[in-house]
Amino acid sequence: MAWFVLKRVLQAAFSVWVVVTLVFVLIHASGDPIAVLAPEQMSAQDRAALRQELGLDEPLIVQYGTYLAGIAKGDLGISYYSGQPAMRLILDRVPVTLELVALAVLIALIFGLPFGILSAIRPGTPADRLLRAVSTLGSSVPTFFVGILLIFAFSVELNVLPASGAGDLSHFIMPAFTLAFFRIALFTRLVRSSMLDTLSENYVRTARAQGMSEVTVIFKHALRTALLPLITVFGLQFAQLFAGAVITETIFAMPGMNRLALTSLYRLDFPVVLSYIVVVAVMFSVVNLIVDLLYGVIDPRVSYGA
Amino acid sequence: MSLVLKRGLATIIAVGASVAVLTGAQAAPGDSPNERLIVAWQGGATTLDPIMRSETTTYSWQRHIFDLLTMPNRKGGVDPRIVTAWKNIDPKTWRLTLRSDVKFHDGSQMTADDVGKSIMDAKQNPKSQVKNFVVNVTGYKVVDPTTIDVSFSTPDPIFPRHLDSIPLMPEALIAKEGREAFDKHPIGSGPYQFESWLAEDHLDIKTWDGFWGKKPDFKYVHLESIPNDATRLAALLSGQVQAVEKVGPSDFDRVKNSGKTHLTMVPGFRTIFLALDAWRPTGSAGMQPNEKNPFMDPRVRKAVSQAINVDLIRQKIFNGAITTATQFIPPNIEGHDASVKRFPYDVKAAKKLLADAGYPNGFTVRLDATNDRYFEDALVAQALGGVLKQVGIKVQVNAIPKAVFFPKVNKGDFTIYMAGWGNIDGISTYEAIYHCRDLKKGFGHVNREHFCNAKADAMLEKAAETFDDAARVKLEHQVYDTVDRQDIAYVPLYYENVIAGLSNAIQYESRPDEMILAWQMHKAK
Repeated sequence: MAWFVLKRVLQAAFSVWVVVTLVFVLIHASGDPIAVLAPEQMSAQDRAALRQELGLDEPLIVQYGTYLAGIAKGDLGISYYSGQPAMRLILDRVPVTLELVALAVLIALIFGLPFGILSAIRPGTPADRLLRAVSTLGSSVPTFFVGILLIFAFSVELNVLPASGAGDLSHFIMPAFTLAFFRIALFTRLVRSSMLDTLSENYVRTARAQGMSEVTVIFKHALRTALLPLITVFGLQFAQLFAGAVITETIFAMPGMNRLALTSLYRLDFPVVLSYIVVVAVMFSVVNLIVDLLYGVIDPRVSYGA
Repeated sequence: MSLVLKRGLATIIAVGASVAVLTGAQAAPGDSPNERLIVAWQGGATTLDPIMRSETTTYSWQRHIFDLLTMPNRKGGVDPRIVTAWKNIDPKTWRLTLRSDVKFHDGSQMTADDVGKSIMDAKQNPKSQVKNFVVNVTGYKVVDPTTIDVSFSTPDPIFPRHLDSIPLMPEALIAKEGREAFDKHPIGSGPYQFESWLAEDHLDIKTWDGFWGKKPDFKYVHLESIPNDATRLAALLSGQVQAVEKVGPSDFDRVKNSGKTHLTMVPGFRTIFLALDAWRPTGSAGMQPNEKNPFMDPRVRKAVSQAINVDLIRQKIFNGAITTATQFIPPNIEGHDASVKRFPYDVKAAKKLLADAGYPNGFTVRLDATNDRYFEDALVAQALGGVLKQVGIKVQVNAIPKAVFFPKVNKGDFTIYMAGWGNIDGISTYEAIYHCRDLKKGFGHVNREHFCNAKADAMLEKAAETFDDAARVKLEHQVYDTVDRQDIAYVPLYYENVIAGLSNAIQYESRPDEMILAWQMHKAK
């Protein structure tokens, strides 16, 4: 078990190194941070001084070495823009993103799970067909469109929810639904197909033959097995949303870490982008680890042998 | 429900709830709509250190907390603020008279030393982005508690004009507590004091009782960033915020016709222009290798100027919301000459000029432009491609992000490009973008096309040392007549308008310097 966890940590470290190197190359190939940072009136000497101050005058390979050494020491540098430690800027924004994503997957689960079960136990009925139609729609409408639509309906026309910001829970309702929209559809379809498979298994037939009530059969026997694949997808979706809520954060002007990462990428603020990547990588690794461990808890056949 | 699922759900709810407690629900004090004002920008301030970033949104937010030594007015001049009067006692010394009733937000009294050190901080701090405004300052001397003498290496007649970029900082306090503590809880002397903020997201401020001037109408102000244009507009229309910056031309009618909101618009100090390679007879980077560079010939430059119908661009792209440029220096900026008119739009004349210069069939050239820097920049670049084709100049438009564009043109990788320049006064504009290039002396660092007229330079340098306002302005007019009308160094296109959307409950006028100041917003009567 310990070896399993260690192996996972090493794998994660390797992925972080690959991504950091890629981002370093891409950012330095795509422009000059000083060109965006310096005001147009700034003289050539002052520009050179600024470049030196930020360490951007060093050869690329030296800068790369400095960054790697920084990561190893846990120091991810200072944002070119705010002058603040880059990691702190990202960590300040993690709670908003986390809350948004947690709410979104929760909503997706609350709707997706019953929808999927309903679809599966009544296949072919109008209810099933309606839910399947809705879930197809849900997975094909782009996020930004859902977001703008919600804003115009609930902020401008009805004026019941705020269009932007992240104060109390009311600020999170629309963005969380925007993010959840696609996942409701995903969970519905996933639970439906997984339930259908399970319901045709021998042990379910046996349970029915023993005269158990349909409710007991479905909820006690079939659902537990049918949920196994959902745990994996749930974990992946959580991690993916955590790093992919950028459109929603931008549309609803939420101070989440994805929005900051995108702005920083546009203006080549490398230390901030780097900190973001490290946070996301850690999050992905943790979620994956938890999913793997959960599997073992639920299904004793899974082993962690070296 | 299975145990695992229950546990999972419980965890999520717990995480969600604890996060909600951590982040949220800072119930705004005095939430009564009469006391509280919310203003939404596209971006947000990146730092509250008042000299570290010279970028419109950042300094706009900062200027609620930090006062300026002089205050830029809407006419391009400055009004007294902390510095109430200025006088040059000799060509290299300015005597500044200071207010005696200024206090900082921690209650301490401002001293003459705070003012002097604020100026020196702006010049010497390695992170300062306002160095260029105080570049000739060598030191200061306190004469009495409300008077200081500032000394210069060379005469600097427009120094008071540049004091409007220098914030007053509590230098004694910074020295005592350190810059870091100061950055975490900024202390200024402005009409509002700091409450809380998140970089690039929001800033909460409230009025300060010890302010020397008139108290603002709104006690609590929340400045926030809403990057998405549609969301920002929705927030205004729904009444969630009372003022927004940067309303797009296609949204003008919605704001005007909502019955609850209106627009405020003013020609700004930013000139959008075309720059033309003036130094490479052949081998210009936007032409074929070894091809002759047509823009060395002033007739071709004039032809480009006359071929562009700026009024059409104004109507079609901006819904009327730009001001056609008559010259490089915009109205209300020193150096602007009200008697100068734009070369008239005239396709025939342009074609004739091209033919006279030896290009009866025109030529092909690349036009470089940004696509994320100026209002609708990529669209304008495309339109220029279209209009220049009418006189036979075939343009390949290359609109790219600013982070790529500026390093590229700085290297000289262009033949013509479109960019903007925020004007402060005719002299600093000239020194940066017209003056023969001499980077060591600080001249022409934005003169990427190496335009050079040594006689005009000499005249300008004379103007830069002339203390008599009328005489200096006259010299500036002569200089610009030479470089704009005869040499045609640039093709100025238009001045960007500064546009804001406002709730009808607010009275405010946009400022040409692009700042939005909540303390200048009033409750509508």
